[in-house]
Amino acid sequence: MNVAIFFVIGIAVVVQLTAAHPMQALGAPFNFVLAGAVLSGFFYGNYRGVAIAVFVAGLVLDAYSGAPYGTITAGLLAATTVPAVLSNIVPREHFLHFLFYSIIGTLSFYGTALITMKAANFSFSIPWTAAARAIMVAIAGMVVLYGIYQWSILLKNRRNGR
Amino acid sequence: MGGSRNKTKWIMVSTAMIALLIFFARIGNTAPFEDIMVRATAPLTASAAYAWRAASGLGTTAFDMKNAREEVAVLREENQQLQETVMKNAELIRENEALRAQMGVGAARERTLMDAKLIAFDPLSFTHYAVINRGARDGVREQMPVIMPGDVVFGKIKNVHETTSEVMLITDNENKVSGVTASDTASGVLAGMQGGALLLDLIEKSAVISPDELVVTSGLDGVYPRGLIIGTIIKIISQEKGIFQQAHLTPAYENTLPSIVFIITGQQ
Repeated sequence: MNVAIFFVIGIAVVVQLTAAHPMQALGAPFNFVLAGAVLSGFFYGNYRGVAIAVFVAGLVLDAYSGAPYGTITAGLLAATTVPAVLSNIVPREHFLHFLFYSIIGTLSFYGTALITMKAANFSFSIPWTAAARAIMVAIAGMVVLYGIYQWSILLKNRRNGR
Repeated sequence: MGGSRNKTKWIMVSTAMIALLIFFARIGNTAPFEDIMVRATAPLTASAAYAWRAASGLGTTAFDMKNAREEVAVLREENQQLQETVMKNAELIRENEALRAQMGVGAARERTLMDAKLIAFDPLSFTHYAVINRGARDGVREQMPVIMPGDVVFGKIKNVHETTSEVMLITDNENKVSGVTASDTASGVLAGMQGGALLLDLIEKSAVISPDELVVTSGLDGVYPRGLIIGTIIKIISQEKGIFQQAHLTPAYENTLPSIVFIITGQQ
């Protein structure tokens, strides 16, 4: 199991609980743990390792959330599992692969979280607008992070004369 | 072949776990486990929150140094004006006390407050909660109102753990508060809207309300005492057919995330 995955997810949990609240776009704070889960799954490919890390992270986050216990854990597990299963649809070399992966991961997370909340309380009305905003912010954030990563690789390669 | 089988096994385990979590969320009764998780992680979260606050404070200080001189001059002038107001207020308080005594009315109610520090915010954007560093050990109980400096409503205590408590923020959809305009011309029920705004509903059609008007707690909901600041009206919705009006509000705490809040533990 890769320790780096645990480290990345652990840092994301701390940032999410303490610093993420003011970092809002369209009224939704950026989801660092979701980004950590999706990016770790995408780059490391060690889906089982990521799933164990996000499971622990989800249990911690759920303890601090007003949503029913298990909502975030279930969402994060889905965000790791579903894209891993569907990722072969778009070839890994294709430039749209990451976008597809992040969209599927984000939709799985919010879809599962909302289903869990609805299952816990049937009178809960799904906040469609807020969900759409949160999904857009999450995907945009992940694409930006991915862009920064690719840009840093490009700079490194240029410096090395490759 | 083996890798594919492993992947299938992992997918099946994950799916079963998700189903189990949904099942447990439906049943509820996870409070003891939640309590253990909070107790185990609260020291780390609290330390991280303090470190983040200190770091962001340093950044802000460095950024603000440029405008410091101008601000000092403005603040000095404001201070002088405030001193004059304080003198006048002290006189008014004395006068008020004398009048109350003459009319046989008791002294104004005094609140008992307990300070608390915010250690975490809700990680999910559909529910608006925060966690504070006071719990059952400190005498915190469910439904106690939580305010910010300046009598601004922050929320109410929803779940109490041994050393920490969860505060349901006023912007949460489930937090219903009875509100009244500062001019006392209109009243209604407030609830959080998605996006962090508030909705003041069930306002009588004949009631007079206007944008920029301040809304305070009415004290009728039995949770929040009267006169706490909730927010400012930004939009009024009045339909011809309906019997009620609605208003959108910006909560007073929105742009000033507090590091310290106060729990109202009692009123005398």
